[in-house]
Order: sequence, then structure tokens, then C-alpha cells
Amino acid sequence: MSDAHADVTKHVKAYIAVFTALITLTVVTVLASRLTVAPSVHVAIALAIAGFKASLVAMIFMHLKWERQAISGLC
Amino acid sequence: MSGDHHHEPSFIRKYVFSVDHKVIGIQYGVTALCFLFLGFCLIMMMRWQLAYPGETMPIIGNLFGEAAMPGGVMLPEFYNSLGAMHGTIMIFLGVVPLLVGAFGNYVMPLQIGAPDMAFPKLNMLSYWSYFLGGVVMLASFFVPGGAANSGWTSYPPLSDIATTGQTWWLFGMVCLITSSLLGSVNFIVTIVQLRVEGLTMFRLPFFVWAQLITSFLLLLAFPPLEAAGVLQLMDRLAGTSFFLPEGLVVSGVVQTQISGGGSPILWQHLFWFLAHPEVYVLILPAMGMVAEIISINTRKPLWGYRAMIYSTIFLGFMSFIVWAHHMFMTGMGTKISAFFATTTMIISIPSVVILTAMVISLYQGAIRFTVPMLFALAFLPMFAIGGLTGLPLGLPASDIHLHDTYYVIGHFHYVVAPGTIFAIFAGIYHWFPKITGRTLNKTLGYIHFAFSFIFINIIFMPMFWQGMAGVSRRLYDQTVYAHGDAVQSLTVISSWGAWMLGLAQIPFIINFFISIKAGKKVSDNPWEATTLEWSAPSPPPHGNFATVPVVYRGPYEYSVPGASSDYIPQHITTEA
Amino acid sequence: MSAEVLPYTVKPHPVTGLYNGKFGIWLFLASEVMLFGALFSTYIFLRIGAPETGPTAWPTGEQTHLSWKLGGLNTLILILSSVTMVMAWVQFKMDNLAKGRMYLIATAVLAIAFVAIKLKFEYMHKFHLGIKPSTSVFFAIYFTMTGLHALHIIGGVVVIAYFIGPGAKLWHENREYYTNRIECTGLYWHFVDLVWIFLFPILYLL
Repeated sequence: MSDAHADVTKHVKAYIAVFTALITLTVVTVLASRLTVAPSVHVAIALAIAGFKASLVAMIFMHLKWERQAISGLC
Repeated sequence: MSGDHHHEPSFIRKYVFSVDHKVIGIQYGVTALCFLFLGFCLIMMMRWQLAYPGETMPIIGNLFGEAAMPGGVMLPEFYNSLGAMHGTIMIFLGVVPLLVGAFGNYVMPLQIGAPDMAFPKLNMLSYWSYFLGGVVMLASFFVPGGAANSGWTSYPPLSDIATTGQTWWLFGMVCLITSSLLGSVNFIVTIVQLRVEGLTMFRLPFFVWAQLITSFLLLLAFPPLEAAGVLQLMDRLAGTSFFLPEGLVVSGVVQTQISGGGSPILWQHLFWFLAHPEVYVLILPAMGMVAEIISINTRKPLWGYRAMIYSTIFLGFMSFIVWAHHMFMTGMGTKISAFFATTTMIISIPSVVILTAMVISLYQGAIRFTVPMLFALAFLPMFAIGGLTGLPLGLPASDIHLHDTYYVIGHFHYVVAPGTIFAIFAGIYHWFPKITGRTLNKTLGYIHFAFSFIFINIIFMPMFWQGMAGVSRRLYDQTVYAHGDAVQSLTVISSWGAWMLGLAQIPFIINFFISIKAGKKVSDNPWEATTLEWSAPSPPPHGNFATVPVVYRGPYEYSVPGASSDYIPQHITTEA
Repeated sequence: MSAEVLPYTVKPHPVTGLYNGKFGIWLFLASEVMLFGALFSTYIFLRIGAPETGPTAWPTGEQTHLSWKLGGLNTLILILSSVTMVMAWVQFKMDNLAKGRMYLIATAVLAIAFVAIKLKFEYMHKFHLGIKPSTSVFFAIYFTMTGLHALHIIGGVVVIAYFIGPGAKLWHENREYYTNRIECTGLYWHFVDLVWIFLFPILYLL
């Protein structure tokens, strides 16, 4: 179990980092929506940010980063 | 498991709210067979109106009251309800629950050597959610305006403005979708995680592979229908306009109370995104069962086992990108039509690979013409007719002529009725000894097969001619049109075929009930088969296997050169 | 059928590296992706099909009557709840029931705050302005998507409440089993957060 302990404490740092990134990106996406650019550029920026945020959640909070075995074992 | 004897579960825990996959499988099987019979009764009634439009229905005509059949003559609205519910019941409450819920649940864990499904409680929940969905569907017959009457496809705008029955239909579908979602999660986890030692993916019986791919289709294809169902509920209950365009005219009146801005085509996209993979849900497990039965009764390994598996995977993948071939008539444009026509032609290749592999498996086999084998053999040409008649429908140029005619009805019924339902009968005759420890009577079985085979072709073969003569589906009375009246005799033949098919089921029903109690007792492995379910006792006890089996070989080791017996079960180490 | 009989209910499978529950929840999430995917597709389909002008044109900016401030606040709340959820799992993993429970309670409180803001300040405000789902296709999709999302949140709160209360009994019987279940709940919870990450820009900003 000591192994697992060391593992999860390492995780906590990543969680805090992701949390900060998500908050920052939310602010960025709101600010970006006020730029005067073409609608298609708005869509591109908003979806790029949302996509990046979603991948952060999936990789870190949902532990996909640490599920290598499952992903390679199943495919 | 011997330690469990001191707390024998109560009757309710054991047979009603059971978590044992075998009991749940039987529950699914019995319920779904009842629904299958009910769905068949609905169509037998409709066939009277089709064959003898406007005439009083004999014997049962007066049982349905003035609202449905005044003076024993079926009203068009009631006809529409019967039609919509026939499709819904047959597909969602009859065939899929039989293939996946009953056979999948009962046989699959046994074939992989598992003590039960991975999530036994979810399994129970899946059955009861299905049961609830069935009850809601049945109850909808008794609401004002009758059951859903916009066809099993529920196309808007008609379904948006239809009577209350449609709302019930949507709630019923939500229950059924939940059920299949829980089931499919359970199946995939069970197949991947609970295989016994030595049973690698390429030692799995083909039936298990078929169930695995089917579960993926159910898992991923049903949610869009759930979304579409939610949107339609919003349209019906909250007055939104997801599927209603601006300026919609109903019975000559412009609808001003709706906001408009929606599109009826949106429903078609969401619906067919489910319903095309659903076609493969209806056929893949059937192919799986037929493959098992063919291998056992030819005493030969399945020819092209790996090619069949790869084809099944490819089929599953492709089935998600062919849906719009149901929508060539919506004016999607030539480019999109060409894309979907191409994918449709491509998807026919893996189906042909599987079918060919099964036909070649027969070559030089020492075929045992048992009752399940006869049904399995009949499946092959019947499915081939169904599949090949689908090709003209997949090409926009020929589809324009055939779209929504009886030709389409004939095509998909050949796939599902003499195709899948014959496979289901084959499965019942084949696994009945495992479930009860007794075998079904052979003579009655042969009678059942012979008459079913003849009459089912009498029903569906004329439909191709009817369709090519231009008769549309869902017509209440085709004789009002000159082109329909000209081929009315075909409708009469078809109808008589349906009623005779009904009579042909009597030997099966008698056989089924008598054999449960009085059938001939048989050994645990009456067919001399190799897969794991036959190494368990018949019927298998709670927990399935006395000792956990270990697998040493592939699923179809029949007639191995030099072996002392003509079959070597998967759990046998060396040839004795 | 109890946990001892079925393999891999608690311990991970040697090949897949997953215990049954985690595998199951991921499959469930795959189907959820298809559910919300269909709704997002509906949004795109309807928006592309909407005319440039006229009564059925797609509303933007002020016309939507949506406040990016409230939407943004709810975004922050959900992100924070995702962090507390994952921290709860960390605490259980480190054998600390009391702290883990605190984080679970924090998650549930944040979730309830999300739903409260949604209902009280957003939906009610719209109803006061006479805006209903039937007003236009935009509000139809707005109410349907956020409503379905809110139902997912409420479902999650029920599950979390169960693990704070009666479900915690399992902790004393089988810690690993309990922690696994929290992990599965967390996976679901993060997914709900993830859906909102997309809902916020497409409804409030674009």
C-alpha cells in the first residue's frame, strides 16, 4: 500500500495544477468571446479551448494518463 | 457453493427478483416469446383487413369494441396502431430480448466458464426495466386514441401531433433503452473480464463474439434514439419545435401556436443512426447461434473462424455509417447519397463473408439432420434472399422506385422472420436440453419446421411482386388504387400464408410445454459438443460449474485426425 | 452472488488492468458520450439550418437572455467540485475516512449550489421574462440540454449522498471495494463536468 500512497500524493499536485489551468482557461474563453473577429474564428477558439479543458479533465481527473495498461490491453 | 445450503433463497428471490443469469435468461425468454406471439397476433388481424378490406372479421371481430372495430370492421386508426405496435413489439420486445436477453444471458456466461454475469444486480434491473417498458407499451392500447399509430419509425411531424399513445410509446422506449444499455455494459464486461483461464479471445465460440459486437452496437447506437425520444417528448409535452418547421400546415390549417425552426429530417437522422445498427443487432446473434449449430451438426470446425470474427468487427463498425440509405428520398443531394450508397455496398461484403463461411462449413461434413440443424440450414438461403434483395434498396437509382413499397417489407422480413426467427427456433431446440435436462420431441419438431418453412415463404415471397407493382406499405386498403387492385390476389395469398403459419406453431407450443415436464431425459452433452456450456450439468446449478474449468483448445475441435473421439471438448487436456 | 465468487469485482484483471466496476462505468460513459453527442449534433444541425433573419433566426449576444456571469460562476463551481471529488478519492486511498467524507460532502454541496443557481437565477429569470422552451428552437435546445445535464448532476448528488451515508458501511467491510466505488462515482462526476465545459461556450458565449 505504501506504493499506492506515494502514487496518490504525486497525483494531488497534478490535480491542483489542472484546477488552476481550468479556471484560467474559463476566464480566457470568456475574454476571447469579446474579441471582434469573424464568427467562425469565435467558434474555432471556443471549441479549441473547450477541447483542451476536456482533455485535461479526462487525462488527469479521470486518470486516463495512468491507465496505459487498460488502453493497450484492450486494443 | 455447498456452504450456501443453509440459507436457501426465498421463492421471490429465486424466481422473481433473481440475480442468477440463468433465471433472468429464462425470464427474458418466456416474456419475449409471449411478446413475439402477441406481435404475430396483431399482424394476423391486420392481414384480414388487407385481404378482405371492409369485411367483418370472423369469430373475434366483435371483441374489440366500437372505438376500434365497429361491427367487426377494423377502423383505419386501429389498423395504424396495430401496424406501429407490430413493428415495435416484434423488434424491441420480441426478437432483441430473445437473442440478447434470453440466449445471450443464459448461454454466454456458460460458454466462457463464468459463474455469473459481472453485475448480477444490473442484470436483474435490466430485465425489470424491459418488463416495465413492455407493460407501458401494452397499457398504451387502452389510452384514449389507442396505442401509437405513427409507424414503428415514429416520423414527425405526424408523431408530434399524434394521439396520447405516442407519448406512452416514447416512455416505453426510454425503459427499453435503459434495459438494453444496462445489458450491454454487463455483457461486454463479462466477456472481457470473466473468461476462464486459457480461454483467449480467439478461443471464444463465435456466438460469444457475436454477442460482444452486438453489445457494442446496443451501447453506442441506442443513446441517439434516447436523445431523439427526449426531443420528441419535449415537442409533445413542452410545445417545442425540434421537428416542426415554420408554417407547418395540418389538415389545411397553418399551425401558428408553434415557433417553428425545427426539421422533421433531424428525427430521421437520429432514428436511423440507431435503427441501422439495430438491424445488425437483430442478425449478428442469430448468425452466432447458426454457426454453433452448424459446426456441431456437421462434426467439422467452423470454416474461416477468424475471417468470420474480423468480418463481424468490420460489420459492427460499418453499421454506424450507412444509416442515411434509409433517407435517399429526403433530397440529401447526390454527393451524400453516393457516399451512403458506397458504404452500403461495402457493408454487404462482410455479411457475405460470414454467410459463405457457414455454407462452406457444410462441405464434406457428416451432417446430422437434427431439428435445430434444419432451422439453421433454412436460415442460410432465407438470410441470403433477405440480404440480396436489400442491394437494390441501397442504390439511390433503384431505391426511388422501390422506396416504401411492399418490396421493402419483403426484404427486411426475409432477414428478420425466416432469418432471425428461424435462428431463434434453432436455438430453442438446441439449448432446450441444457436448460431443462430434457429434449424436445423430434417428430413434432420436424412438423413444426416443415410447415413453418413453407408458409413463411408464402407470406413474404409475393410481397416482392406487390412492391414492384408499386403498392405502398402501410396502406389500409390497396384495392382503392387500380395498381393495387390488380395485385390484390397476392395479398390474399400472403394473408392465408400468415394464418397457416399461425397454425403451424401449434405443434411447437404443445411440444414446448409437454417436453418441459415429460420430454425424454438426456445427458449433459446430448449433441456431443465441445464448448463449455455442455460440460456443466443440465440444468446448471447456481454458480454453474462444480469446479472452475480450464480451457486448453479452440471451440470447434471436431473430427480431429488421429483422435479417438470425433470431438474434443475445450476443457480436456489430452486426448483420452 | 457475493463478491467472493465473481472474479475481479475488487482486484484489477491482470490483462486489462481494470476491475469490473471501472470497466463498466467507462462503457456507460461511452454511451453517455453518444447521448450528449446526439444532442450536440442536433444543436449544430438546427443552428446551421436556421435562416439569417426572420423569427426563426438563431439569437446571439443579448437576444439569448443568458448571463455569461452566472454561466461562468457555475463553470467554476463544477470545476471546483471535480477537484473535491478527486480529493475525496485520494483521502480514501490513504485510508482516511473522515477527510474523504468531508470532501464528498463538499462535492455534494457544490453540486446543489450549481443546481440552485441554475433553477433560481437562470430558469426562473427566463420564466419571468415569459421565455419558455417553446419560445424558439434556441430556448428549446437550451432548456433540453441544460435540463438533461442538471438531471445528471442531481443523479450524481444522490449517489454521492448514498456513499456519504448508508453506502459508507462498505468501508468497514472492504476498504478497497468502497474506494473503487468512489473512483467510479468520480469518473461519472468528471464526465458531467466535461459536458458542461462544452455546454458553457456553445450556449452562453457563441
